[in-house]
Amino acid sequence: MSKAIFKRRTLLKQLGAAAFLGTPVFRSVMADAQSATPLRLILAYIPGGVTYDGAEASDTGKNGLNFDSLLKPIAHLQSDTILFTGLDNPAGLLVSTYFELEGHGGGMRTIWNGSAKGQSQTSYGTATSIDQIVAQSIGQSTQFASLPLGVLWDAAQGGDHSHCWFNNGVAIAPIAEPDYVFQRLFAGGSPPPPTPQDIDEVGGTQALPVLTPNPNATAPATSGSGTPAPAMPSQAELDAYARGKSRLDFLIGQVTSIKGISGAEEQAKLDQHLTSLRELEKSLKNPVGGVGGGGPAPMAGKTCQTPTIGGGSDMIETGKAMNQLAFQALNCDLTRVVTYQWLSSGDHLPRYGFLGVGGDHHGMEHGWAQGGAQGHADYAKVQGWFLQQIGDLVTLLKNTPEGSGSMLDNSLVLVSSEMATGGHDFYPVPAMIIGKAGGRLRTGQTIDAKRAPMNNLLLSVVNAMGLPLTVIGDPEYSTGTLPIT
Amino acid sequence: MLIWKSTDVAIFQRATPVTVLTALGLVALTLSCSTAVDSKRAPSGSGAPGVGAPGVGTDPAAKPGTQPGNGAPTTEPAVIPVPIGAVAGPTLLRRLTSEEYRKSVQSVFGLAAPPTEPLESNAWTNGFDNFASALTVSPTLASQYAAAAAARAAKDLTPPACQAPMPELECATAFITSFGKNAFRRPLTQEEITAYVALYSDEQTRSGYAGGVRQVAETMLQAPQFVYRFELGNPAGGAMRTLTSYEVASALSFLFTAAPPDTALLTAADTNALQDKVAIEAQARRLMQLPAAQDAFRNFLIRFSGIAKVAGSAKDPTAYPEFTADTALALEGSTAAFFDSVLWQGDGTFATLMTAPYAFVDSALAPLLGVAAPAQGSAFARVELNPAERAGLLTQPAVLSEHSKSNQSFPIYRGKFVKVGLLCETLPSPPANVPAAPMVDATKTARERSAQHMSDPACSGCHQLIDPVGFTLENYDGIGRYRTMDNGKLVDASGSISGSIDMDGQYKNGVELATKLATSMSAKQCLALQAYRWTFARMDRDGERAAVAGITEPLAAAGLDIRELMVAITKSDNFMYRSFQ
Repeated sequence: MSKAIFKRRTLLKQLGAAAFLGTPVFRSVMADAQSATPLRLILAYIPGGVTYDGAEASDTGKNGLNFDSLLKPIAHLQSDTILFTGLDNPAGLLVSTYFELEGHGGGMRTIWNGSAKGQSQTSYGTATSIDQIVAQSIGQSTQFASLPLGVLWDAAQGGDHSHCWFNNGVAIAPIAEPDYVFQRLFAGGSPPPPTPQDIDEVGGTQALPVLTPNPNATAPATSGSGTPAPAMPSQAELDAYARGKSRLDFLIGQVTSIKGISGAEEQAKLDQHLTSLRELEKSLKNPVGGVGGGGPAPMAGKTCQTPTIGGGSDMIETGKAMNQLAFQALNCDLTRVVTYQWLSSGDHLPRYGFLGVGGDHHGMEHGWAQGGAQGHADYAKVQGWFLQQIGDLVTLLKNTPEGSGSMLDNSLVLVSSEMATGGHDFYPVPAMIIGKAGGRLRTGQTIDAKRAPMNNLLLSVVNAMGLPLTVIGDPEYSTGTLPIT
Repeated sequence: MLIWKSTDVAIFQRATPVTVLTALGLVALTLSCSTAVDSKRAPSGSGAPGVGAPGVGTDPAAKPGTQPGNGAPTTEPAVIPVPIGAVAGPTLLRRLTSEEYRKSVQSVFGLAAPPTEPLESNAWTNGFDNFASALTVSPTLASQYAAAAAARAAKDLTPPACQAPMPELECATAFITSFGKNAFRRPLTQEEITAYVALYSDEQTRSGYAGGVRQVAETMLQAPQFVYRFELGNPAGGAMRTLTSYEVASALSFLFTAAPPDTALLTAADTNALQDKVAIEAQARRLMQLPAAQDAFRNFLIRFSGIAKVAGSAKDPTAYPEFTADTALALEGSTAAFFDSVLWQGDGTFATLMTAPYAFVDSALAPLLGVAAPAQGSAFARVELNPAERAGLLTQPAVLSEHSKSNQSFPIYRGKFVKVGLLCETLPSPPANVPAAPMVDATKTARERSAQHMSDPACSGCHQLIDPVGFTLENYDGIGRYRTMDNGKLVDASGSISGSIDMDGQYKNGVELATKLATSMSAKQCLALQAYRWTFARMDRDGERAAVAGITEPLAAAGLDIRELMVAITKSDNFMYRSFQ
């Protein structure tokens, strides 16, 4: 009874091994009038700040992100990248210093929203992070307005260790289980019913209809042509869809009726509930209606594939799986906004033996500077590894043609961290943008922010995503934009 | 002395000028806080509670007994007269916390332990994680509910056998009625039964009787009637509402047992027997005898003490290498054991909570308190501490460690905890564009470092209200160990309180401060106010502090028994009445 719901074994049973072999299962339908290429936003968080050369950091605010050292693993992306030096995060400082959250919580709560208002150790404030702002526009035509992913994110740490926020002070928990993401995105939306064997384990006798892969749907798609023959859905698929639809329609009806008898203060809460149920409804896979509930089809000329995710639950394997899932979620246009969190802030476990590094992340964050050359080198290795993982995802985008360029040309990947150097500090915050956001960005440059607040970078990003806003986060920290276009 | 009596409210407001709603948790102060603060009163609530508006004929919920949400029996209930002057908060829908959701699923299926499906963590506001305003159903949570409901309906549900000649539809209707009552904590309305029968019939055409029943259960486990606790009530004249007996049953059970109502409560509600204060008190006293009451009281006191996150806390390993993940866990366990001991082995009073010179240690925690360690893996054992060094809650290592920085003790956090957490005073926001905190000079004592705030006129106006309070706890380092030296110098733990109602004065050290807090009327009323907020899942509104004062006063002379306080809250008007807005 306390078993994890999504057992890989169960999934394999239900879906058949074919689904894990990278076989296209979705009909990629010719994009009709949607010739405009979609814009995409990825917010990638790496934990704990980066190493700096001490003098540089304190004197000029130059950050340590340069292609000669820390960024070597992604040097091939240099022409697609804008590096930032001298960025400040005053909201993070305020929350951290004055509201008892130290660097970790203070950074996590402000990194993508630039707001200290209403925050305290025991209050989450009300600011919305930019992924949700952007999702309200470009996310509306896809099944998932946004997709929060995490690698070894520790749910027990709760909201203080999440980087994205709804406007009512609710942390958006990253989904850290690749199986769960796979199930929701690529296997029909509803969670897997247990196998008969699972039921036997708890003494039940009721056999359930088991989701079976549709053999027709696993036929290889014609590469790149866009319009393979539609597959015949199985009765089980049709039933699963009808069942889920019936349930969600019912729930939407119930919440609506309760809205009718609730007080004024409760109306917004129930509206949020309705929005959530409708999003769940969009994620039901309609076997006769293409991908999902009829969201836009993938771009012409692209083949949307079920990602291949391997076994293993360590950081390396989970990261690989999440990269595949994030990439295919974007490639299949299931979402256009991905938030991507590596670890929780202040992670304590020694995970870096594979790099020849013995320490844990939190210990290194606070100890690398005192650790001399060895401490510096170890932490640089670890941070370089995280950047490389993000580079791997970006490379998948870069290698996928789209329109006259690549998916990366139509994407904006913003990478940053909750602290500057790991010492509960907020200047200079490491940050970079990879991708051209539809050709709008001048990449291949370094911008000295001259101690501009993080808010200005966030506003520039939101503007590049097509939203004509003028303020992000607390107005006193939102003083303009940075010349990224 | 009755401090928050309504006639004294003006005095109270002068001392604590900003509503707590906006100010809990703020530390830095400026000169402005000592002047013109009254103008900063933030709006709170909307109008005085409890004042019934004239009849609302168009109110869709004004027709008693028929709305799907309130669980009223299908017969029209008698309108219960509301006492004149009754204090009533707003009608609420309280989304279950993740812990309450799991306990509810456990209860519905009779599981041995709560299920462990992933659920989004609760949103915190004003020191609590159960406030109705902050708990919503996000897209992630909706999908997690769906996953949990599917898993449980598949694994834990055995559709009841349906024997011929009983038609399957009748069996299904019986299931809907009985399962639904357990899930919704009240009988379904006729409309709800009809709707669920239709849902069943639709699925039955696809997967038969068992599939239809499973569809019903899976849907109920994510239905709004399951995931929200309703506090809508029955119309009782004007905008006033009286909570239904079923709503009272849930309010009692979640408050006293952190779980949905047991059979006795539901049975009492079946006869509409939870509509008067005598019956409610009897149930409250019964529930308090159950083992689950320990969980419920612990939940509250952990939040009251500001240590809800201590189990996952970490320290700077260079400053405190001995502080491990095990230490953090032990801190939580130790304080929980302390609460249990005060409440269930001791006299249960606030006075004891604040002064008891003992603690509970396991092998991980003993070194922090400088006592001999019990055997590895053994349960927490009580150790007597030097009463000159330790006194109750304020000197518990978990409280001291959580109100510190990761690498040092921090008088500002500790002073703020006393002012805001224990005295319910309010502090204004720091100014915009605060400067970075002064660089830490590692060779100085924490007290000397704080002196920088005190000498800077931009900071001293308000820091003088806070820092000297925190100085009294300088005998404890950043992880709660007793010390007499700080950075090679003798600790000076003298301090003072100013700007309070009844705590102003000089204090030699933390023990003296704690001893005085134990007898302070404003501290007792603050505990009661926090319990009131916790009970009703919201901040207090204008005028409610007087009601809290009325609850506290009769108990204060005997040291304020926290168990009796909770019972008294269930006898307050607000426990039974609501105002529909």
